[in-house]
Amino acid sequence: MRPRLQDQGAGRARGLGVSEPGREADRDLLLALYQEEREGMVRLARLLTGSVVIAEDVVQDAFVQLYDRGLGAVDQPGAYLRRTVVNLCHSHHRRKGVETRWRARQPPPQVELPPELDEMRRALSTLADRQREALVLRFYLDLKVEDVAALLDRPAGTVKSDIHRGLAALTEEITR
Amino acid sequence: MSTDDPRPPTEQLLSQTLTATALATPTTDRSDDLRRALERADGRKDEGAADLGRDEGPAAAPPDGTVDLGENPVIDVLRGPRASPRRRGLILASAAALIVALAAVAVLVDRGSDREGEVVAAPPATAPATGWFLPDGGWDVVSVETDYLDTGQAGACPCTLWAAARPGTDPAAINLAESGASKDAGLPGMPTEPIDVGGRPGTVSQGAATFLTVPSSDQHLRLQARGVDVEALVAVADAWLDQREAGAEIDPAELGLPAGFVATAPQEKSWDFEHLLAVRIREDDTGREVEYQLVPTGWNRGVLASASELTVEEGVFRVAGGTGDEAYLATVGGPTDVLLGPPFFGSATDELAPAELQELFDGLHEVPTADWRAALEQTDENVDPDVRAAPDLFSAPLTGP
Repeated sequence: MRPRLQDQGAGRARGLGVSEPGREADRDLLLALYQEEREGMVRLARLLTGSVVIAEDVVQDAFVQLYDRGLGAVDQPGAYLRRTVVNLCHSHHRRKGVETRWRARQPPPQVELPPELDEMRRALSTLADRQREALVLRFYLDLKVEDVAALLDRPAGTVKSDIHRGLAALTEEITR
Repeated sequence: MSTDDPRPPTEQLLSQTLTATALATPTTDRSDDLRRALERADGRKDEGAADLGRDEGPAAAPPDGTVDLGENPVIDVLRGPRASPRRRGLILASAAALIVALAAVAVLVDRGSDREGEVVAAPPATAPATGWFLPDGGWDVVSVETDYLDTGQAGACPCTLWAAARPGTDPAAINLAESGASKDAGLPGMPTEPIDVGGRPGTVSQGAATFLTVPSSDQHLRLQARGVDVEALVAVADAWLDQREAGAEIDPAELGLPAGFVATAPQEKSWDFEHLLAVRIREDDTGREVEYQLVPTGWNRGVLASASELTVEEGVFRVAGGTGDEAYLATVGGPTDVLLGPPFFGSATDELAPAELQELFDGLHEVPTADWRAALEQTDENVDPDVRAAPDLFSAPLTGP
């Protein structure tokens, strides 16, 4: 049975990992958490960034940051990871030059969807990053607007506006 | 779409699309990569070199939403409301009373010597300057407004402008202007004391900055300084006036500057008003807007007197200062001063993180006039016609009232 970080890690005191045996234990716990959370985090990051490759890198970085921070210092590793993934994806959007260059040399996505969903996916890719982020968190993770705002560190009113405008743009795009 | 789902069709379709896309996303087990990365992280800890700058986890951002820049803690999010043109005019008029305008033909750079006042001329720029600056890709020009600043010295110019500063954190700075007509001594609202400047009657006002004036019927001298003793300021003014009275060209090396100072060469300025361009740009992806200013003749050099960080690169002062609403980034000392954010009338943005502002500022680069005009074609309005017509930032119609 895999060790569950939620059971074991939350009660660990700060400072674990200073000794080599402690570090080994923390690494094992983190790798176990990685197995549990990897798919969900990569999927979320893929929706936020539009790229599987970038999503994989973002999730790796998020786990390393959690490890750097110290497992014992985080009460809810899953929530911490999700927020870190969102932050890293947002940072990725800021590095537009890198993103643009990367997109230019990527093949089109291989995911096959029914035509109406594929049309929506294309429409989604035309939105501004901030609108797409808000919509993904609201309609994929099913978060409340207030929770989306907290996750993105934006005012709730701004998130509402982003969601409203994003939905309007999607509606216009798919009914065109 | 489910008939039981009460949501509008777009929301239903969006949810289904997101879920289907996510479930169809292939993922790869990279446990081995992660284990190696964790071992490298342990190595960093052992070396006591945790890479704090990369931490973008929830604890990386303080509750107020600002971002700690680590080695660059000066710049916070710029939030202040943008001043209207009318407001700007008032502010600029006030600034004119407080800020000494300085421009440079060539810039003298310190050789790192701590010998008092030692300066050396920087190589002159070889490429002709247009004064037009645009950001790197991803931003469109929204508007370009022009503000003219009455220097309060109409008829007094040509004026001589000059500046010197000591680079570093919390730098010291001296700005100096002289003109051919006497203005009222001292500064409005500040207590003024008489002071002797090598046998000449002067006045001094001390607050956050020190203002020293030596008025006369034919030559008016005003110095603004921060981090410089009044005695040292008087010595500089005295040396300046001595050189003038001897009929010599001003030699910054002979002004008795405090140790570590870097000086611009004095420049004669032939017109008696100033102007600046306020360029507003919008980010393609997010719709966020930022404004920066281009100033051809140096009014923004007043930032030298309030900077909290200052370095010299290629003969140009790079300045950062202020916090919160008053934070700013600037380059001064070249043909064009570029300013992002306050003081006085800086752009308002509460959306860009400090690191984003730094990235944007670093990406501002001078472009040929053709590129500048092409950028202006992106917007049909909100561009001063003079800005479209001028061949560069330094020529008519921008240089005339």
